[in-house]
Amino acid sequence: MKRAWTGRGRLLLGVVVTTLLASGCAMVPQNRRKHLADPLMSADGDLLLTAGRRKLYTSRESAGGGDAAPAGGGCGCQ
Amino acid sequence: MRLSVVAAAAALGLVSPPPARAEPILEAPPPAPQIDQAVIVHAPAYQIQSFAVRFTYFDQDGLGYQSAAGPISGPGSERTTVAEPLGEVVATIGDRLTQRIVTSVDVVTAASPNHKLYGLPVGTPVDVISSPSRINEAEQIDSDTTYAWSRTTNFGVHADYHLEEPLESWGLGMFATHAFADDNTVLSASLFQLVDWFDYFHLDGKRYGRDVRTTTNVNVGVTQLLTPTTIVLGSYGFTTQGGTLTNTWNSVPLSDGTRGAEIVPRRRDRHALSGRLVEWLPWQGALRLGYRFYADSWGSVAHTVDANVSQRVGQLTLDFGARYHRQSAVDFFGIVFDPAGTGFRTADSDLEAFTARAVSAGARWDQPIGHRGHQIYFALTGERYFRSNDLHVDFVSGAVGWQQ
Repeated sequence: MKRAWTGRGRLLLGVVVTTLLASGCAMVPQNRRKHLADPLMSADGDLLLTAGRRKLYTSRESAGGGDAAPAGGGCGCQ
Repeated sequence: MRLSVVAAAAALGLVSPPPARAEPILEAPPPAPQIDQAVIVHAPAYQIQSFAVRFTYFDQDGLGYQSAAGPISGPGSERTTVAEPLGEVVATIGDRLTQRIVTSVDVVTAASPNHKLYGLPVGTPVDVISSPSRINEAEQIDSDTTYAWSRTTNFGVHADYHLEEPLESWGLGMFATHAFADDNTVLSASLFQLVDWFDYFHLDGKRYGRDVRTTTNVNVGVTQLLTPTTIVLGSYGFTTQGGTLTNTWNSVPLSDGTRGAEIVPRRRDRHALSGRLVEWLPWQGALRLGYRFYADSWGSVAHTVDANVSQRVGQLTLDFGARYHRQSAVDFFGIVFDPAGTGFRTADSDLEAFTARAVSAGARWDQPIGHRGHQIYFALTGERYFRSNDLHVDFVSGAVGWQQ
């Protein structure tokens, strides 16, 4: 655990937080969001298909969860 | 021509005409606005927004040292199949409530190999230590209720229940989203609690009563519109688990030629940090790129990248995806252990250091029906997932749905 959060882990966290804070200055007016509202722009695509994939990855890899979903638990495989 | 208010009202039949007497005509107060009930749109009390049924079939094959379906000191079979039908309904209740319900059934073969198969060759049909393992049916129902507190703020409650023969699981959670900066930025947060209650089977097949595992999960995230064609998302999730975290039937090879039980810590803290970019492509397509960093208190660190392209061709949408995952082993992983040892130990191939790749392709056909914007769709997706430590999973998934 300690190994994970030293060095590169902290650097990565800093880069992500800085990027997100900096992006808060961007403004896209309502009348220029035609493409953003298209169903193709969904971040996760089909929710049921995404849930099926997540179940596969979570049960076959130690590094599951965290994407707005619990890591482990809820099934007999972990 | 100018009419007095009263005359005009009389002409419209809204008030009685003035009496035909030579009395001074008083200006009548203006009539209250008349509301035409026919033009008021009320939200229906209950309206189905969409429903879908999906069937997914997983076919897994490979070898792992935690499985006893093979040589005593060698890796055993991890062969299993999962057939999973599921259904989803989304409905609105009045103006502010949205309800989503998902039910699924997993039919799993060979969930727990029989340790009486020691020494039999790989490929021997996997028997079981308990009846659930022959064919294990797992049922789950998930419910998400979202309440629109205001135009920019939503609150929600999640509940789920999972049942399979040796395990029951209850989940409860809450989530919230808030949009600001003219909806350019959306913050989200969620909290989930899971409790698993299951039979504790030892390697000899004996049942040692019931045991418990708890999982608590917190997530925070942000979605930001960057440009008229670009969205970025970032999220952090923390999960802490406690209780019996082994599945109780995993075993480890021992140096004396026998096998012993897997022993893992009773607590695990897991961190996941992820970012995603979605970019509109000018030829009616979209590109998604994602990265995820993971670390936990068992010593496993992982990096995952994925890319997906969607392309619309008329009513057909094509999807192509690829994923690469690399993880380190947990601190106490091994493939042979001292029989006298009392420390943590696992030979589970899922906890080993490996790389995993996945490629997928899918197609979806949208067919408008009627004149009210309704449509039905048909979707088919296939994926191949393969790991560097001798395991692969093929899955194919098909869906039919209707939506407004």
